[in-house]
Amino acid sequence: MHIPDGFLDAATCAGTACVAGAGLAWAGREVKARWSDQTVPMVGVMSAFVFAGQMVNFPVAGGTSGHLLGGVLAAVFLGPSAAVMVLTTVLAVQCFFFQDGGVTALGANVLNLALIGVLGGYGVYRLLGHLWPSERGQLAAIGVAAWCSVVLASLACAAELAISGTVAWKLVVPAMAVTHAVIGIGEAVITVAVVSFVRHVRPDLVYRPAARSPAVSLRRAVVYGLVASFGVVLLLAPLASALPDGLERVAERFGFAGRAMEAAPAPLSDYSVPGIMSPSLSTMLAGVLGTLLVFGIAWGISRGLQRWARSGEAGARTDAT
Amino acid sequence: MAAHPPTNPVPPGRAAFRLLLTFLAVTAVALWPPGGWPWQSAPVTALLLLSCRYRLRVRPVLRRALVVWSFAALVAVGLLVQPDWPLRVANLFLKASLSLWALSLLVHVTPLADLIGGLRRLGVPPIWCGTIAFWGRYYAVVNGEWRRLQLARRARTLTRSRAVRFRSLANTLGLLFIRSYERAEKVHRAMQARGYRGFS
Repeated sequence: MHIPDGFLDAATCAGTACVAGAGLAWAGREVKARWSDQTVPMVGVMSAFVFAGQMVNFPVAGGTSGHLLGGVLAAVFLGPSAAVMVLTTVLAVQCFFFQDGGVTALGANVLNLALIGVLGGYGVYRLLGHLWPSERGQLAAIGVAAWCSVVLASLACAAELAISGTVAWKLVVPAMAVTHAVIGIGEAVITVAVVSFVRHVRPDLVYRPAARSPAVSLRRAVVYGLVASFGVVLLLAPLASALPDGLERVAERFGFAGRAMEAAPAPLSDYSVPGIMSPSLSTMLAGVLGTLLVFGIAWGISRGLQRWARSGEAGARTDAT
Repeated sequence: MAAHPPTNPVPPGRAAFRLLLTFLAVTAVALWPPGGWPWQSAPVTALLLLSCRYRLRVRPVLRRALVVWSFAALVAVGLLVQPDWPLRVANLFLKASLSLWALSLLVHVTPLADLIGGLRRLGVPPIWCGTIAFWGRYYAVVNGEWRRLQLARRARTLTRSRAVRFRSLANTLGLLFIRSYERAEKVHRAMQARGYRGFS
């Protein structure tokens, strides 16, 4: 499922790199808060374990064999953010030292396997773990989570290949989903078997989430949010439909579409930047500019409201004294 | 990781330059629009010359290429419905192969420790450089531990039942997980004893 170089277009590479970068910044912060100065030795050694674990081929039914991906296994014992870091390290090493997965597609591979796979799988595990609190229920939740992590990652991979125009949606999505639904069964069985042994021998190793996440500074939240938003814009802009929306369709049908009047010339009319010939690049740039504009307006309003609230509080204090 | 690591260490500045050059070359090749074959001969020539100069071994590169080509072949099946499929398929194979070749050359001429120095020079956060360095240091240790556990497991698993073999392999992997976790804790305590207070 590691996408090589040359399979994704520039916008998808940039978009996935932005989203993955924001996700990794969040994971790094969470891991440091949980593991403190133990982060580097723990994540480094556990990356070596996951890498070694991925080399182990298990006998699966029908004379075939499968291997562990390890995302949910790492998340169950180290927590989701540390598991994201572990899988990212493994993916970076596989990319640079074993040429498994491309450099330009590293953002996409990290997004699929380390972020969507791990966080999606861990979310399913937490949800089902609450519903099935018994020992067997927990193991069943881990199995379903491991299966979901593989299928979710494969669907994300298929979506990126389709968005890039490499393969058609109707071909790549069913092919990837069906293949990985079968691979996911192997992942689920192996993960449950390994987790059940570790829980039996060292139950204290199971990760317990902290009651509260560490506070995020406003500046960091803004930077992560903006980078992730740019990534989403770059990824989803090629999917924007050129067809009219509901109101425009009704207006065309009943013949009052021509009555629309522009109050002032719009700088980014129809979500395109004037002067740029490529329609997809124009839509992407318009999306990025729009994101910045909306952010600027929201920032200005929030700052104004904050000042207004402070001046009100100061006035109330003066009246009280 | 390199097949023939050079004996002399590569200075961080040179490692950073090699990393940057490889990244730019791979990006240019990967994002080049389909077609334009005369232009594609430029990276091929450069890679050929550098591979001869640094004596890059063909077999390990081909072994890795087989994995990439198998994935490319799967994707190529989906391209057969397109009218310009020969161009698209050739484009996929060429880009994936050239990128793999460039990365193989990079890790052949620059050992892991020097590459990490280069990453630091390029401004990659210390927490990531440290994690990759730890991977490099402990992968061989964890792998050696796995081989010992496997040997012991094979010596003691006398049944031919597939289910029992599966269970025993999973338990061994679980044991490797516990030992890796405990090793990470031990390494951390040893580092603390030597004055380590975390990466900034």
